[in-house]
Amino acid sequence: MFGHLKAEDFMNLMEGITLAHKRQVHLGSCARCAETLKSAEATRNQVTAMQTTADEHIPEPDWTDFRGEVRNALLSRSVKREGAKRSWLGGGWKPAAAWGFSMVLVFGLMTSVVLRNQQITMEPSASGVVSVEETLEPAGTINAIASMSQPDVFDAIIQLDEHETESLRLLLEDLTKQSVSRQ
Amino acid sequence: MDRTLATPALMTLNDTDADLSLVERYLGGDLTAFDEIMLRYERQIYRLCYRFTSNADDARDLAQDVFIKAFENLVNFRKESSLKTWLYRIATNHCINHVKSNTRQFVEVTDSTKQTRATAHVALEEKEQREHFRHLVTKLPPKQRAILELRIHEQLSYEEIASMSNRSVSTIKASVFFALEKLRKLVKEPLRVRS
Repeated sequence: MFGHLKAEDFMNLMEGITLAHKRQVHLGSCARCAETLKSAEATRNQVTAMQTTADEHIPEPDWTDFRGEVRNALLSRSVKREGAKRSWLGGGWKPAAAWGFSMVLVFGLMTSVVLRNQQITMEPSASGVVSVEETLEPAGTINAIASMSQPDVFDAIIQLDEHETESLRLLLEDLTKQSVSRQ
Repeated sequence: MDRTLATPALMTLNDTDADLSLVERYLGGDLTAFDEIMLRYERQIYRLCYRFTSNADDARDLAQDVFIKAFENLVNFRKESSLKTWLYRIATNHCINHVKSNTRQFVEVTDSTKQTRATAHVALEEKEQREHFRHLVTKLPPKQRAILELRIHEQLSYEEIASMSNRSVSTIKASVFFALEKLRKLVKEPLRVRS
């Protein structure tokens, strides 16, 4: 069944939109709806009038300044954002990479030392202790020492007599001189 | 349906195209597009903010915030609505939040104004009536007030307001009507008190 006009109908009437015939007939016969329309129209005219006169009195800013401030705010915000990105990525990655690299280096060295030790322990020399006299030639001696495990080297050094110790000292001095002259 | 009233302030297709091209230029790094967008909308957005704040400094701050927010999020502008509608949506939401967070101040100002008027026993002149009416508008719920401002003052079409607020055109029309009804009642209130 059909009742009074709805809010949308009143707005349509105020906007000049023609209502459906039924509703138009109702408006003609209903004092309440007619009164509502009249008062709503009066209020709307008041609001519109207030607007047209008030708009002239709105103080306006200096638009160049206004624009400049917006531009500056945008620029400073983008600079801040860039800075934040850089500090997050750029500021931290160098020390982190250096630390990581040094860790890899240390770990690699330790692993190679351990592996070498294991290899030497798995394949010990026939005599167990390397005889220094057998390998007293410079290159051979160095190779022999390099292939020995640390305890073996110390054991061998301890067992050297005076002549052998002197020979080893001279040999090491020669090697030091050679390396200095190369540098 | 016979529409005898021309839809006011409806953007033409050319305006929308020009806006889209400005947005693309701005996003492409063309900084002159910034000035062009600002020139197009700075006054409208500022005026909308002024109607909510009735204070030039506050309106300026609000309008600048609206543009900063808009330009920062321009990359997210989906081009489903026009740039104008999008800017008005940001501005309206910003103004509604401002009104909500300053409701106490508004009430205080209104009360003090009423008291002054009551003690002075001065008949309201035309200008004062306008001021009084403006105060009454500030008493409307923020969302209802925003819809009234957008429709009557900014002359946005019902369709534009509906797309801005994700509501139907019927709901927007009803909101404007209820806002007018509420204003009518508010206008009558002081008369009852005086009599």
